[in-house]
Amino acid sequence: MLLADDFFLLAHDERDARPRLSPRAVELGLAGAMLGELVLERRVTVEGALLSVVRWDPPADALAHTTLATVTSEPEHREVRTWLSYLGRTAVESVGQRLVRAGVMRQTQSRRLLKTVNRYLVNDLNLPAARVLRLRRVLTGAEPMYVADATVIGLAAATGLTRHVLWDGAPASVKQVHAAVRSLPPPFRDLVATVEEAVGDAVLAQRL
Amino acid sequence: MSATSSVRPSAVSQALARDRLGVLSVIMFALTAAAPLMVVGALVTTAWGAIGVTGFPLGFVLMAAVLALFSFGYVAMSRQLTNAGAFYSYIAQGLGKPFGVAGSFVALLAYNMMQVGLYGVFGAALSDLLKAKFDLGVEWWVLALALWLFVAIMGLLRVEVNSRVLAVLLAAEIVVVVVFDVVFLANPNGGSITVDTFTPSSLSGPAVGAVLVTCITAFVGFEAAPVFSEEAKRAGTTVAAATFLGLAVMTVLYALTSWAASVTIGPANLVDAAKQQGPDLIFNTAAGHLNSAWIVDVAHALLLTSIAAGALSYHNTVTRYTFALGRERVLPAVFGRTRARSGAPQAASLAQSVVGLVVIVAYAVAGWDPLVRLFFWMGTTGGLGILFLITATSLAVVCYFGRDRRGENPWTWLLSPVLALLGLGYVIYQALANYANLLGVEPTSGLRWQLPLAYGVVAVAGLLWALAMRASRPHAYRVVGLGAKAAGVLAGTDHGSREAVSR
Repeated sequence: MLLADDFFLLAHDERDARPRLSPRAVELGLAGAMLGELVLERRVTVEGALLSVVRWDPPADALAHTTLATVTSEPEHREVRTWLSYLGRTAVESVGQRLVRAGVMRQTQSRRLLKTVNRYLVNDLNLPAARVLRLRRVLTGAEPMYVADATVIGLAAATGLTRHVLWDGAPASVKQVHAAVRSLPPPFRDLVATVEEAVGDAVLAQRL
Repeated sequence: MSATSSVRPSAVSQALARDRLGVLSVIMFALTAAAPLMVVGALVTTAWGAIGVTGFPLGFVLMAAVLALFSFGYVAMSRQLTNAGAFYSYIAQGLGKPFGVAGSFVALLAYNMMQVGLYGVFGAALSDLLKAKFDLGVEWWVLALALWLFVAIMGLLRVEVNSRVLAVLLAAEIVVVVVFDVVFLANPNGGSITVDTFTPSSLSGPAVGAVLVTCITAFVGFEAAPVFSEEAKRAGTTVAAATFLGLAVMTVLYALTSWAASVTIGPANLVDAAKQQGPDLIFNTAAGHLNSAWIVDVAHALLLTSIAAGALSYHNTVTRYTFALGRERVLPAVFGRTRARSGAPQAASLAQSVVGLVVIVAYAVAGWDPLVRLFFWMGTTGGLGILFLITATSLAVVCYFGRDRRGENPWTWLLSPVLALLGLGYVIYQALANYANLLGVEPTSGLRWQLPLAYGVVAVAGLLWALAMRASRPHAYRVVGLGAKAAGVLAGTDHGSREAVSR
C-alpha cells in the first residue's frame, strides 16, 4: 500500500469517514506522506529542512508523478515546510481520489450547514483495522518493519495519531514508536521531524 | 537567469500567499487579548479607586512610548527566531538558556494571573448587572464558574471562535468607546474641558509606578503579533505593522477615553466616584448624559463579551506556552501533546483550567473581593510579570544583535532597546518601591513584597531547573527556546541538535 494511502486510512474514521485529526494536521501528514513516497522511490531526498530532486524520470503512480513534476518545476522552493503547506492544500482530495480510482474507497458528499464536503468511505471496513493491526505487529517485532512502515508510524506520531495506532499510551509502546522513528534512514527521519515541527507551529499559531 | 524566468510567477508562492494572514487579522488577535472595553470600563475605573491618582491618560501615553521603543528590537528579533511570539525564547537566545527557562516560568505565572483575574471582573460585573437590571442576586463566583466552564470547553475543543464574530464584537466595542468619548467631551464637568489628567502633576508622587504598571497591564496583548510570523503575508512587514498599529489603536482608545471620562466627571471627583461605583462608573456616567439607555445596555453586554474573549485569549496564551515547554521537555512531555480530533494541546489546556478553578474556588471560600483582590491585584501583578519579561527581552535583544548585527541598524538593535530599558527600569523601580500603593493596601502590608517576590521565587526555580536539565538531560537542554522546533518524537536523536546548531 502506498504511503499516503496508508496515512489516509489511519487519519480517517472508517465508519463515518470523518478525520481523526484537525484539518491542518491531516493535510500536513498527507503531504508528508506524499513527499515520503517520492523519497521511497528515490526521486527526492530530504536533508534537514530542505529537499532536493535526485532523479527526474517519472514514478509509476500518477499522483507521485504529478507531485514530482510540481516539485521539479519550482526549483526556487526547496524548504520542506513550503511543500508541506502547498501539497497539503489539495492532499485530501488528491489522495482520496487515488483511493477511489484504486477501488479502496468511494466518494460521498455530506452537507454541513451551508457547504457540502467530500468524504471518502472505505469499501472494505476490515481494511483500516487490518492496517492498524499490522502496524501493531510491526512495532512489537512480530512482523518485519520496512522503511515505509516506520515512516507511517513516524507521521502518525508527528500528527497526533499515536493513541490510535497503539490503542494504549503505555510508556513501553510509546518507546517502540520512538525506536521505530529513530531507526529510519536520515531523509525519512528529517521528513517526519519537519512534519512534526509544522504541526507544532500550527498549534502555536492556532491555525489548525 | 533570463528575464522571463524571473518574471514568471510561482504557483506555489501565489497559492500559499492566499492562505496567509494580513495585518488586520493579526491586529485583531492582539486587540482581543487587550479587550479595549474591559480596560476603559473596568481596569481604569478600578485603578482610580484603588490607587487614588487620576493621571492615567498621561500614563498610557508614556507607557506606549516605552513599548514602542521596545517593539523595534522585539520585531527585528522576531524575524530571526523560529519560536517567535514567546518572550522566553528571545531571552533564551539573547541571555542564555537558564534565563530563558526562568523567563518561561515567570511568563506562566504572569499570564495565568492575568487570566484568572478576568474571572473576578466577569463575575463581579455580571452579578451587579443582574442585580440592577433583573433584581437577581447571583453570587459572583457562580458566574465566574460559568465563564470558566466556557473557557475550559472552548480551550479543549478548540472550537474556532469565528474570527468574523470576534471582529464584529471588537468593532462594536470601539464604536461604543468612541461614542462615550464624544458624549463625555460634549458634557464637561464645570462647563469647560481641562487637560489636568494629561499634566505631569497628575502623575506625581509615589503612585506613578502603580499607574504605569496598570497601564502596561492594559497593553498586554501587543506582544502577540510575532506568533504569526510564519503565517503572515509578508514576514518582515506584517508583524511590524500589526505591532505598531495595535499599540497605536490601544493608546488612542485608552488615553482618550480615560481623559474624556475625567473631563466629564471632573478630575477632583474622579477618585471618590470610582470608589463608590467601581466598574459601573463609565456606564453610569454615560447613561446620565444619554437619554436613551439602550446604548449603555449594549455597552454592558460588550463589556462581558470582551472579558470573555480576553479570558479565552489568555487561556490560549498560557496553553501555548505550556505546549511549547512540553515540546522542549522543560515541562513533562505530556504537555506537548495534542488532542487528536481538535488538535488542541489537551494537557496544557486542562492544566490552565485547573489553575482557574482552584483560584475561583479559593476566592469564593475565603470570601475575598472579586474586583479588587482578584481582578485588580492579580491583573496588575500579572502586568508586573510581563514588565519583567519585556525588560529581560530588551536586554536579550541588545545581547543577541551585539554578537551578530544581522543587518540591523544601530537604532533598532541598540538605541531603542537601551532607551526602552531605561524607561522600563524606572517603572520597575517605582512600582516595587511603592507596591502597597498599587494594591491600595496599608504601606506596611506584607503583600507589598510577597506578590512581587513570587516572580523572584519562580525565576530562581527556573534557573535551577535549567541547570539541572543541563546536567541530567543535555539533549533536551540544547533545544530550550525552540518551541515546536524541538522535535518531540525525535527528542534524544540528532535531529534536535541539528536545529539547535543551524539556527
